[in-house]
Amino acid sequence: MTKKVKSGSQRLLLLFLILYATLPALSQNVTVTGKVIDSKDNKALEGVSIMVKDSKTGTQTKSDGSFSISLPAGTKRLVVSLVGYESQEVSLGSSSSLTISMVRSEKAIEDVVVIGYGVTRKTDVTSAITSIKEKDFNKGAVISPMSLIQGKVPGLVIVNSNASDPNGQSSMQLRGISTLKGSTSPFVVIDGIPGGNLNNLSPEDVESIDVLRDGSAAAIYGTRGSNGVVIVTTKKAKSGTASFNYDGYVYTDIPKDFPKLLTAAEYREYADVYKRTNPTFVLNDGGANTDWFKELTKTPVSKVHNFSVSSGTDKSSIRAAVSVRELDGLALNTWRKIVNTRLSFTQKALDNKLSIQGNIATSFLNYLKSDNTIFGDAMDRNPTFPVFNPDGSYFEDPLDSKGNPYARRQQTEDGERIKHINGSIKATLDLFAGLKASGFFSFQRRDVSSYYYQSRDAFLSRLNGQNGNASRSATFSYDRTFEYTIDYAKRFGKHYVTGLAGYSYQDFMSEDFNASNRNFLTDAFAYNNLGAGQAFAAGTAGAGLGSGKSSSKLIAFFGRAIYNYDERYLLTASLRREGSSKFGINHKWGLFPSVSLGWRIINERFMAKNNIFDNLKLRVGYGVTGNQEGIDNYGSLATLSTGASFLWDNTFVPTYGASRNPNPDLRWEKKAEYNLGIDFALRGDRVSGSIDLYSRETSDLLIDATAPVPSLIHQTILVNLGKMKNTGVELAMTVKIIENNKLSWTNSVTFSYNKNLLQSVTYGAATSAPVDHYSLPQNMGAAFRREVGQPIGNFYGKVFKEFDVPNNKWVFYTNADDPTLDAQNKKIIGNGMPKMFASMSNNLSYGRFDMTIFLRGTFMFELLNIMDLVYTNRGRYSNNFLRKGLDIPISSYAYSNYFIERGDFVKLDNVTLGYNFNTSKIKYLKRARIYASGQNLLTITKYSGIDPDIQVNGLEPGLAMMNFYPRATTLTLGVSLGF
Amino acid sequence: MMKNILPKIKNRYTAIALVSMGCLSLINSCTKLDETVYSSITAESFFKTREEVIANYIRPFSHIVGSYQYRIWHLNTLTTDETSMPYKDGTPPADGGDQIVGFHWHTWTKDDGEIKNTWDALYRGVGYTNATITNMQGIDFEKLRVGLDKQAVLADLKVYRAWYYFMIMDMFGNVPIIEKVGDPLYPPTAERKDVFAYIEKEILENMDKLQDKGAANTYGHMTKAVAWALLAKLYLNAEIYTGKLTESGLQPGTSRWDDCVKYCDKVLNYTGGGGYQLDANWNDPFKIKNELSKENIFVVIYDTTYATEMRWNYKNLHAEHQKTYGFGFTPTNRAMTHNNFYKLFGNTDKRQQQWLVGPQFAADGVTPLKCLTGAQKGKPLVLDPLFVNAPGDTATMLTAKEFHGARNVKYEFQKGSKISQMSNDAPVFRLADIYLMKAEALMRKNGGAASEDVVTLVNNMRARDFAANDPLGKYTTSTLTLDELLNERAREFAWEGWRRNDLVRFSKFTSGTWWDKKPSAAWRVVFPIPAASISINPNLKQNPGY
Repeated sequence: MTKKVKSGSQRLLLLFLILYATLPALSQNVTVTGKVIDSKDNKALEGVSIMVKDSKTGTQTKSDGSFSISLPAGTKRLVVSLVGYESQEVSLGSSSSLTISMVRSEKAIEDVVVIGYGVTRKTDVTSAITSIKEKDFNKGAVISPMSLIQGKVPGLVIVNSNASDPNGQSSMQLRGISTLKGSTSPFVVIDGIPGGNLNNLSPEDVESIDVLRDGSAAAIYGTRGSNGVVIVTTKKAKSGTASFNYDGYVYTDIPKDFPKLLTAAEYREYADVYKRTNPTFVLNDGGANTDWFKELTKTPVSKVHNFSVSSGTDKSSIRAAVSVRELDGLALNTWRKIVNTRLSFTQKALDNKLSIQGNIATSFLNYLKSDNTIFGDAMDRNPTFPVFNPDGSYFEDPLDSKGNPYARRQQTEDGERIKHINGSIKATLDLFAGLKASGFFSFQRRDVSSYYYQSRDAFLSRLNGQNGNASRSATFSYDRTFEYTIDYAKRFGKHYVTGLAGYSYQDFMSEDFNASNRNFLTDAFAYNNLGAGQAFAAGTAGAGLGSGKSSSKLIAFFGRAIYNYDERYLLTASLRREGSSKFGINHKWGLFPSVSLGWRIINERFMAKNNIFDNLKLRVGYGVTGNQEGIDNYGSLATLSTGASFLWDNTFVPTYGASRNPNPDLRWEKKAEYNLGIDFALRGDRVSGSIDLYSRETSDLLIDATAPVPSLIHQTILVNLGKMKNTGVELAMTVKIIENNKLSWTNSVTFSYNKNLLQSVTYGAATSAPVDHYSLPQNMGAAFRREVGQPIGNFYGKVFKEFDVPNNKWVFYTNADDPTLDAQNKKIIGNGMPKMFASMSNNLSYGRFDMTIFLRGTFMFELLNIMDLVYTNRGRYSNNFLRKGLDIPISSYAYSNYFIERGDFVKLDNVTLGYNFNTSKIKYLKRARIYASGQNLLTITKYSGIDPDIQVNGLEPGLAMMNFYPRATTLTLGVSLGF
Repeated sequence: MMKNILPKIKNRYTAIALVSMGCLSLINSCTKLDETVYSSITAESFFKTREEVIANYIRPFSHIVGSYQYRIWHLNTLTTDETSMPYKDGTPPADGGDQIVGFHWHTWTKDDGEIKNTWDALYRGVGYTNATITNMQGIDFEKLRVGLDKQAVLADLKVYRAWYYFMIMDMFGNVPIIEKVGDPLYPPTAERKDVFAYIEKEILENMDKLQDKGAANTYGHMTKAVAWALLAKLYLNAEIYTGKLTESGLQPGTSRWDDCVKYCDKVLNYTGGGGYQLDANWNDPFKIKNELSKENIFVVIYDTTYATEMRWNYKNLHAEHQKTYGFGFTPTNRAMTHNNFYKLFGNTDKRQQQWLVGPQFAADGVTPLKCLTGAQKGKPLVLDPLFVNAPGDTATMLTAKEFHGARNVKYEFQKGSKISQMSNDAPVFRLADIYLMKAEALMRKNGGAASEDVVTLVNNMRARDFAANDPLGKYTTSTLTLDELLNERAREFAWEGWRRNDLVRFSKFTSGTWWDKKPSAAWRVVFPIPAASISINPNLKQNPGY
């Protein structure tokens, strides 16, 4: 689709040039004629701009590539340019007939930026948009497409909290959190498909990712724009080429920094210490020396193969790609197998006036779910216990409550098979002078089939008398999109106007079915014969049936106008009117306007003599967006559901009553955002970048508020209330430090700072009392406090004073010692939401070698080390505890600032070294590259735990979990070939 | 010139038309945002059959199951001398921790979550009933062939709602009256006497439309006799309910002793469905199959599978009692009764059998049960209703031990039953109460003195509790004082949730002392309106004192 639009913008440019050419010239002394051709295939190029240097006189080539231009006296050089080709200057000699050969630009795509429902020239952009192209993507083993741009987009925080887990999902959050209930993830559009699923996309198929960061850019996406918009464009065939590419790599994960527990030897030694306070204690020595983390991990080898073919002519082009990925996890029995295919084509007809672009992609996925609880249980496992009995069976201790984690992993099969297919087709028709009409249809369907079996012999199965535990579930979701747009572009003198109007219809449907059973005679069936279990028929626990189905739809009308006056003053305005079936009857439709202005100062006359700046643009924007992710289907309706049964005709029958408090006023969360930005380039484009300041205020926050009982039935009601604000600054800068024929070194940095504030939460007459949330283990209370006037992510607890060893107690400061403590002797003891993020990439090339070094840092936040909070307790002895616990002379659980640490870190995230072979002498090989990459190589931090790079997105940021997937350094070897 | 342009225009319009048709193909749904429900239901997609109508009709009746033997019981019982849930060997009581201890000491506050939860549970019941009344009013019973008398259904629901308001008004005093869900969203507080009048009016208006005892599907519903019993209870307390709540306590209102007697007599003389008779044994109304009781007038229905919040098998007993009753779980040892109350039961009174005291044994009656914690660990479990066995003991609500307190086994336990899964129904009104209500009304009308008729009435009620020749079983006009009647109510209705109501009527709720409870402020005769509820609904007014 994007390819299509791109060619559309070429047309706009063409139109622009035609009009330009008709402007009266100042003098017409000389006429030069000529032809412009493609340097590779010598084909005529149409619509090439031919401009007299440092003037506004120019023309453009016709369909046969020819041009004719009258030059003012004294003209020495012409500037020749065409989107997709390198611009060049041509010296005018004596000849009055020229043949100009243009070279295709690798950078071509950089000239345009993808915005909602189209593309625009980068110079026309008036909002905060970051466009990352393939060459700037993160290298090495990439599991999720979003990892391609981790750390590359200022303000976009991407966290892979499960690190190298092949089943790990990355979470995204842009410019802080602006919801208390909905998703924090930006809205994803893949090749025009709104709400595209990133998990079905091979990273290698991605050509560019554009992130609409501010409200003025995202407003065209209405009720789904508040978290920002990520627009993914996949690779398409280029016209005039035919190629076959292979990209493959293998990688392995090398675990680092397992939690340091007592070793078996230390464990035996500690028995004497433990006996002092527990005289009756008898060491339960299993006789082994087991490092449980070693037992639960392996050295994985993952393989990724990508094949793609593409070929294109002027009229049609096609690209097909297959990706086979066998990802193997560090954790025992953790893997993911994926086969992705993707086909895209473009066909032009009706004298190139009609263009049809289609995509179809499938993804087949099979994986065993990761189970991080085995690592939590490993922390608790007596290290003198062996994994196996001498006879080869699993060692289990009869006094245990959790069982052997190795055995559990082996005795449990828990996985999913997913089939995903999506497709889209877009037809665009050039109507007349700058007017184009398009129709777009897309669908996505996803089948997920889950399976689970835990064998009869599993410790927990035996303990709870389950006799085998099997379940299956199937979910199916399907969504369709119909969109119709009309595009218009016209230049009137110095005024250049483009317009867009459109209609969008999208519907969503999902259904699910699940069944479970227990009490099997044999393990032989596993999850394949649920009926063989007896629990269902007996009506006992763990057996059940369930199914459900729901649907929703979204309808929108939208429009946008971009106005450019004299390449100096820019205005973009958009409006979307959107409704969702999920909204309450009183608020079915919302209006989402935006306006943004740009001033290209560089083109002002007073800048003509400046020799510092090559680009200088000031941008200011305002946009209103929504977030509706917090509303479930039918969330506003008075639905009925079953209540407790009651007697009727002497049997208990189900009763039906109101299932929730309906809210006819239910609507989207509304965000209004201001953005002020500067784009700059200096010193011959060697330094370029942008700075953005923003202030985003979300109102109508969705929250499950305490309802007035009476008069309502249920204790909570989903309502729109409350306000939250995020303010921040973002910087992106690229410096070409060295650039010559042999050596180049480009350094790019991004920086962002965000401040969050919950401004108000009011319902009825009440300002909501502070909400304490996230229950800590061992009844240690809630970790966080959310309250008005404070940011999200505040840790709230007591302040450590000293240990009271004789009474085995933590002693905390009281409000008598410290007046900042409240009546509960607690206060805000940290915040888990980082305020600052920074990254630095270095791209070096020397001859045929290239190298990237990528550093990423997160700053100004605290972590709550729950792992230490629980596992440093020496009272856990008889199981095991962290060696750190030897420094804590008591054995009691308490949550306090003792376990809160600064989380700031800088990570050497990626180093990649590549070599490009000289293929000029090899007939069939166009390109060959090999590379080696290392990821997560080094972390610089004062944090005492395993890895401070944990989940910091969402409402509960900064929790270092007890059950964690082991951190690893990933080493990759790859090859890339083009034929 | 025209020749050239015309075909072009034609093409243009054809193209526009084609594109427009794409949209037209969808035009029906082009701007419609209606919701299609599948595995959810809305009122529009429901109420199509008789079964669906009935499923909504009986929805309010199952709501009470979760709270009647839980929070409603807690507020009416743990605040009295009848039962306490103290710390046990340092472990705070479940179901509310220190709030539960505060109930005993009368130190509850308007911020207590347990009081808020109780308020919510009661008003949610009103809400379900309001919703169902609105639904039923809109349904054509004839058309859907519901086969029920719509007026009887509505009367049942309205009197049922009146019972909810009776409980709310009894516990919270000045409370809002609301008859429609969300209308108004923030209902204002009504004076207690107005709520009293509203309840009275609702019952009087609807009682004649109610069904008789024994009609189909009346068990657990409001029948004529239930309405009369409720009226009798209302009138017995009329002086309290029509009085004024002030900071210095309750200023009594108008008594209605004759009305109380009138409706007691209606129940006593009732013959519909065979009328009501006292059961042969004191514990028959509490048996597993107490639906067979001839005495119970109105019950909350419990069931081992479908209505499982009858909690007495796990809350009250010691963990070791699992061995006595063969439960499929470990009881949690929470609720216990102090000697102050236990001693009201004479040794010859059969009702004393509802208490477990002294050495405890497994099901075989020989194997002693053992203590499980602290210094007493491993010693035989000897239940001591403080401080009978150890007169020097100073245990308080905070320092009680696992063996402290008598345990109530009034409700029969099913061997092997699972946690809180009991099928004994919980009596709300039973004939014995009608006897004692009538007796009390007559005595109070008579300046507190019992006539021969009253003595006969009370003696008849308790004849089943004593050997025929036991002189302790017979009151005389001189022994049956009002205080003695209160003690008799304690013996008869222990663990049935009436103690707070009784103590308030006898002016002993706040002034009384028991165990480590001291006299409390006189305004504590009602609970506070939860502060959290007022903060949402400013039309609610806090009760005096809080």
